[in-house]
Amino acid sequence: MMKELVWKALPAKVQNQLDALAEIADLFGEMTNPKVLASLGPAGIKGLLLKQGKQGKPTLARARHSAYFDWSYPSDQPEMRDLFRRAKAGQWDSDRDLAWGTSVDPLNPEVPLLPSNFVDFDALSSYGVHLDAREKVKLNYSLCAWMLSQFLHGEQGALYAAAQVTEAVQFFDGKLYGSTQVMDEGRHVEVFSRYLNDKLERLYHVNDNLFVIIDALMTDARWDMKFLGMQIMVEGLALGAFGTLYRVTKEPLLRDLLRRVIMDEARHVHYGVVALREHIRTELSDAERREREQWAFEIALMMRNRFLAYEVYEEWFEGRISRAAWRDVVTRAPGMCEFRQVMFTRLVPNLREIGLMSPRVVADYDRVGLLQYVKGKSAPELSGEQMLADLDQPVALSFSATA
Amino acid sequence: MGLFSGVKSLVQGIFKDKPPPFDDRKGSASGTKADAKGVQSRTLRVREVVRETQDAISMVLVDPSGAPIAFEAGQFFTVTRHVGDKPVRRAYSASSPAHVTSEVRLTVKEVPNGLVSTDLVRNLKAGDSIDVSGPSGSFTVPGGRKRIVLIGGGSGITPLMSIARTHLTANQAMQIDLVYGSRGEPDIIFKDALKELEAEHEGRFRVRHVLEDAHEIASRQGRLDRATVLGELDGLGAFEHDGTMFFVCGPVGMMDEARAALESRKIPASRLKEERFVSPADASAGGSEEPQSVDVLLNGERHQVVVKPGLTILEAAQDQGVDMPFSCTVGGCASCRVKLKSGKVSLGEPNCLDPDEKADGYILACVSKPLGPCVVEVE
Repeated sequence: MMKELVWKALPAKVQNQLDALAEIADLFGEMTNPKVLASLGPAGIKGLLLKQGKQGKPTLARARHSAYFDWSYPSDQPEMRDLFRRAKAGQWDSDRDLAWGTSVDPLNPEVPLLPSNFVDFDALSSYGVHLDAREKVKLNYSLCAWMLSQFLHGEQGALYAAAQVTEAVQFFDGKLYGSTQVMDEGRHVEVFSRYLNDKLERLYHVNDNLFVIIDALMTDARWDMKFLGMQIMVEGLALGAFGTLYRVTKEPLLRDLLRRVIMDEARHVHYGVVALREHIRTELSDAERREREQWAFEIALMMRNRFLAYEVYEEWFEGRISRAAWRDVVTRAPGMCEFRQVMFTRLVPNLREIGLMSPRVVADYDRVGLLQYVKGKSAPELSGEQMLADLDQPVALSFSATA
Repeated sequence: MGLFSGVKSLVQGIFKDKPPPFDDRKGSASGTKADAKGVQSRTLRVREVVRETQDAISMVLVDPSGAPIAFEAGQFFTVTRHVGDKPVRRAYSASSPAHVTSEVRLTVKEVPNGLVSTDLVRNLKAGDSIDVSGPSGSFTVPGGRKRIVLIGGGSGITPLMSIARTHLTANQAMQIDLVYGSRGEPDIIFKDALKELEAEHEGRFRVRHVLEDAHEIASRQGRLDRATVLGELDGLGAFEHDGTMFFVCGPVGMMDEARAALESRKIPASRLKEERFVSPADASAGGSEEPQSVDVLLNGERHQVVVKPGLTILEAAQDQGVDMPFSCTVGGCASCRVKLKSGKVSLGEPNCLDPDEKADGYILACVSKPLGPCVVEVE
């Protein structure tokens, strides 16, 4: 009671800052494995506490991996060689293949970027915020630009991580495949950046949690951690987010752009699974495997709980409702529920496939409600075309105009 | 340093207003889009010359460096050719789809006694180089349209073709109808391409040919006058939907008739876009026979420009390193619109300024020659 009274007496800005600090403390408190804490801790301080991604200047992430040369050029991984062949054939050119001439009006309710019920406006009203029809469309525009901005930031991380992984990986066919992924990620940076610049005319700052994940895996010296972080976790997050937006947007250029990116991403996850499967099961000690299991679980939790569009909150609602109220609205938003569903449907089966779902973490996944996804298809069992066919199934979110 | 700025941002979060969580990217267009000032001037290579009719060609242009050529469907490019030792500029619309940026097709119809069009249609060949700037123009389809009607005459089909090719692909829900007037069947530009497009997008794209000479391809014989336009549009049900937008391009007489037809059905100006194809002002005519001094007020600074006889204000400013905005350079896009603060100029006609702009003292620097000392302001 006393605690609540003191809290209410604090100015809103102080409340928000303390709320943010409490979230950081919670995150670190959840990490029970000291090696996981050592791996994510420095990145956590840089991203969450010091907010280095939001300083308006470039970030330096010191790489500590070794480039692995093989002068005999072996053909050592037929599955990766096959992926390399498919990747070469699947290259596309955004200038040639996307209809950049499409006029995009982000505020046109007839061609909505997001469906009108992506956010539960009734939930927002319950906190005393009533938006008119125009404001609802504008909020959806902000959310869409925020999501695409995070995609772009994630793709920048993926571009550099793919280059690092290509250097560090010890399979020669993996290096060849990796070269195509570098090109893919460069193209993704190009198309998201161009769409945000030319069509939405807005770029949101990088989300602190995304910064943490990217920084942690860029600076980790171990190649398999880079693979796990980028190819399985971040690409899994990307597939969830791209898939959700692909399912719900009515904007034709964005939909076509996402369709092509999803096809590439499906290949990337497949590569991660192929590269890690044998390594994790046969090369690692039990302690090393346990660390990776716990690391993946922490990142999965972070991705589920912490991509809460606080940047949009700061733009729209800071001073009007508390961060806790916004957290509640976003967590319950139908669009975000869809995002989590698509993301974990892809991610959890892949963790199982690479051997990071032993009985000792199954209970953890069950406790947080993620075990329901474990029986789904992993990347090698699922082509990009099948993934798109799944995403083309009817979706519960409606497309009625926001008015 | 990182620690210091991080702590600072923490403190600022409590005691100061934070900067917005996003950057405004307006005007920060990607590299492939034309610069806001339209200074995308470059030399392109003619990859192919396609004969469309006896007096019309499409030149397929590529950038020798492999750089993309970006534009919006409905826009035009300005081509510069040298006639004798004088550069002559003409605007030609793209007819290719805007999503194909590896090349652009500009379609040109020979105009009787036309300096540039005659040269291009008769002499241009694959491998030639050609100076091009742009894209320019706002004859483009706004977002969110579900139905558009295109009305074109003669070479006015060119931007309409680009619009149809682009939006049939990009906007799967869009219905497009075209009413196209030509003299006779041999004069129909893109005859086969239109037929193929109609078959490929059956039901979503309908073409009605109006020919002065009798032919089976024509849905109606005659000129595209008011009654004909109304007859064809009624037949297509073009007035049945409130949101339908109309795009008109062709000879002046035809456009006046089409406008009268649309106005008779109370189509508001907001649902009508027009692109007038006219011969640009004669660059050698008008102006003073003596060099004149023009003060250009730009970004709060005054630049003195000496305009020699025969030059426009824009040409003289460019020669003397004054960075005035411009795009088409033939009076067609208003990118170089400036306010005449004092003095008199010879304003080349026709140009795209509307009567209100002229009355308010605006001129176009690209077709204006000073008749005495002047002061102009870039707003």
